[in-house]
Amino acid sequence: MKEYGQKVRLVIKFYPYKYRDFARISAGAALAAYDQGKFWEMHRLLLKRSPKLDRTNLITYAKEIGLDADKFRESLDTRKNDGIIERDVKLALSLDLYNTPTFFINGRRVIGDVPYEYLKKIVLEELNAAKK
Amino acid sequence: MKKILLVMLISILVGTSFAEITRYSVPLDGSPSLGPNSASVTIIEFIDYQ
Repeated sequence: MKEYGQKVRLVIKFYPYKYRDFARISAGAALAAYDQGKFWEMHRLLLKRSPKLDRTNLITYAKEIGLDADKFRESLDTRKNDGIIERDVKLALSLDLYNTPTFFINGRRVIGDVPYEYLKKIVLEELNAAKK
Repeated sequence: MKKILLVMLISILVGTSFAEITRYSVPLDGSPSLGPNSASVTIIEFIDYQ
């Protein structure tokens, strides 16, 4: 991602698997961090620390990246951003997605934890196509 | 007969090589994003942190 600077944009959609205990609260944590302007910091931390993602862990992570812990906790406990998560889940289902991660690279679907090189290949194809 | 088969084979090969890549239309809806709106490549990732 960083390799292509101004030419590539990454957009995150949440698709928590409903039978996993902490999938949804983690998405909520990412959005609570987003509300405080630190989405990517939390995003990276969640990926790094997964699957240690219970409420107590999440609050620790929030403090670690310097979030307002009270606001963060309130956001989690009131499920403030559930609407956004629900919207993304509906979108995923409407696209017949049943796997994470799933990528759409300029609309081209790539399902599952594919090797980085494969994603890179498609990104390069799209970058080259855009040049023409 | 052979000619007809050859023509069929060629049209199948040509058809495959020009086959359109399927592209899905996925609304961005103001989801968290990194990189400029003007980027020529947009990667949308559906993620589950757990």
